[in-house]
Amino acid sequence: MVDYIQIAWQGLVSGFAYALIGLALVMVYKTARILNFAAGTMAGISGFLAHWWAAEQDMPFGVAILFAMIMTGAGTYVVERLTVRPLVKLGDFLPIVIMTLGVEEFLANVSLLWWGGTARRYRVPGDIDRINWLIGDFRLNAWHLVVAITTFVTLSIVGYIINQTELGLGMKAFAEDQDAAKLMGIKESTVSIWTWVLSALVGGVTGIVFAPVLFLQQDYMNIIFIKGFVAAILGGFLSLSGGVAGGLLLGELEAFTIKWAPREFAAALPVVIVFIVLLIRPHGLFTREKGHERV
Amino acid sequence: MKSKLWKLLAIFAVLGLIAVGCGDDDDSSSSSSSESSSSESSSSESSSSESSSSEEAAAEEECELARGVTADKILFGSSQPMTGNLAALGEQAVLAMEVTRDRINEGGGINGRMIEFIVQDDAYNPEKTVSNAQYFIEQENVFAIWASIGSATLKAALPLHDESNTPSLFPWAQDLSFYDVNNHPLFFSVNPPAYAQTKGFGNYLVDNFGTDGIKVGLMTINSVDGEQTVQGYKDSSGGDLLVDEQTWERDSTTYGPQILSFIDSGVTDVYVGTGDTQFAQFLLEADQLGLEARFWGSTGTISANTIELAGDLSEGAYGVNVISSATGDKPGLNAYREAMFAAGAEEAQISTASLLAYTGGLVLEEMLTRAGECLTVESFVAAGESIKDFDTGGIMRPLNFSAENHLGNNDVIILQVQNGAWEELVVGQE
Repeated sequence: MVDYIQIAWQGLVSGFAYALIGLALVMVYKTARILNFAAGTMAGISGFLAHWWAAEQDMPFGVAILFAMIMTGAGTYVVERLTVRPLVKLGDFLPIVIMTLGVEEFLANVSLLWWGGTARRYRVPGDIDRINWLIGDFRLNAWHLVVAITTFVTLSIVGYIINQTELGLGMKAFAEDQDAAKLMGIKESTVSIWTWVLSALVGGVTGIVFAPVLFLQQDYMNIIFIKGFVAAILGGFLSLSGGVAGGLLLGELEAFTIKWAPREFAAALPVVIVFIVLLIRPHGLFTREKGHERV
Repeated sequence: MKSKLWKLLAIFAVLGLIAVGCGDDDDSSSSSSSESSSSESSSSESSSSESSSSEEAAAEEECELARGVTADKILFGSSQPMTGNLAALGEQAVLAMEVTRDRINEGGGINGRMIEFIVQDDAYNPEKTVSNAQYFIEQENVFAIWASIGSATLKAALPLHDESNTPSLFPWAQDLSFYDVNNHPLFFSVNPPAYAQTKGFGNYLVDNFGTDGIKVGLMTINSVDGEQTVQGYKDSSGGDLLVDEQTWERDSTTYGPQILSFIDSGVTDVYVGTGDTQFAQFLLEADQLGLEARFWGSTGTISANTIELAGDLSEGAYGVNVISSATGDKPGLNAYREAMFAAGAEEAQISTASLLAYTGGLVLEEMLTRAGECLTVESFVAAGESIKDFDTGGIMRPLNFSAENHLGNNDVIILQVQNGAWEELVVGQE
């Protein structure tokens, strides 16, 4: 029994990463109908920035994270204004998608040039990522608990913004009907830029919180991005909570499959999931047809 | 318009005549001056110079230099994972190649020829490796492919190398099929196959820890390479002790499920066939989940970076390598580290990846020297096969090649992390 609980917990920890990246992707897609292929790399750069501030500029841990998040937000603002906004006016979203691919390549190479290819350890205060508690036969890593709490807090903040603020109202309006939202006087460019920034901050949190788990290495968040993408497909690209639920579900499926299924199937799991979901419910498990949220 | 064209042609014709005339005048003036000083000696000199130039012409006619070889340069190509999660290894290998190139060129080159190489990124993607090979061979006209990383990637490109008569030299790749000289006569390596490595590990385990109570788990990459790794262990004297086999994918974000399986199986020893970052993550997660066992890392795990990332968790971990510890104290290792640090290497780049590339470079230099001025693929291969007891300064045991064996090194070296550094326990366990 404890074995199942342990595997479920391990799956959940991975699922938190997929859920957060899935949320970041869905946020931008739902509001602006844009797939941000640079999300993973942007999240990874946040991790590198936090490490740089802490390890090389001797900033306290919390301040380093704050600086990294500020730089992430500012950088995303610039990227959106310079690369995405000019193309939005063309009215064709394919060039924007290609642009995000280009931004991803650019950022990946900048990251490689600046920090190199060697993996680094992201040290946390008190090395709590090396502390494990034994609760009966169940083992709980202290940093995994931090990951869980951070995920919960992040989701709560995003939920508050979506449901309780003007920005959130604007995002929902644009998600529902872009033309009507514009007619109501909601500025598309304002909603777009802050959606992108919020999405990048969610990604940044993911990149920082998972750096001690995955180590800071070139493209370390790209694998998470791919699985976050699968999570968004699983949950539905038009459902914020669907993206989150999809991520958690994917994490669990992955953990249990690796443990019990033949290895060839475990490797193909993400592809199989996408295939099945697209066949049966192409709009996602948690999205009704016509783009309304089921959850 | 037509008249202008005719005028232009006429001018060019006149200029051409002048050029030819002046050239003839210079030759005739010099010959006339030499004739005036000593007509007999000049005629004998001219006859001897004529015969030596004809010998040279004959020699040039006989020696058709290989593709990628000129009078002053030998060009190599190298497909490396410069991006992706093996980017560190590619970076390390390229640095070692630069060190080799600079050492050779600063010494005047080999037979007057300088070494150059081109690197293309393949991100450990076999498709990209193939397109890189096409680029190297068809567009850059390289002499050979040097120090690539990865069995899957090289396996994809090797048919192209062989078809185009391009040597594949000293890669960090260990698929068993590479070492068949009949199928791959242009493949040279100092890196034993993964099969031999785990076989050596299994033999060492039984010799030193016995069989009572020993249960072994293997975690290998989900590929042919991984299957050969498992088979090597099964063919060792410890083969019967295998109780659990797990695999990992390049896109794995956790090894938790595999570790839990090992715990369920009650393993006492786990062999982990991964890179250094993955091994560190494995040690971290094993500690988190309470797997208590001896951990044995493969060649790719043996680096200062493993210790840096895993910290105290790496203490006592074993390594199964094909080469001495990069941090050891031997003349060859000291020279390697000195050269690497002089080239700007960080501590984390003193690793198996760079040391293998560096050692391959030593052998490459020897092969090129022995091949002589008339560097063809045939002379190069013959030179390689003639190498016996090649001293690497203690990096490996003396290397021996032959027409039947293009793998100069069959060592398996067992190391252990002691006091924060990799220390050699046993050398030459085959």
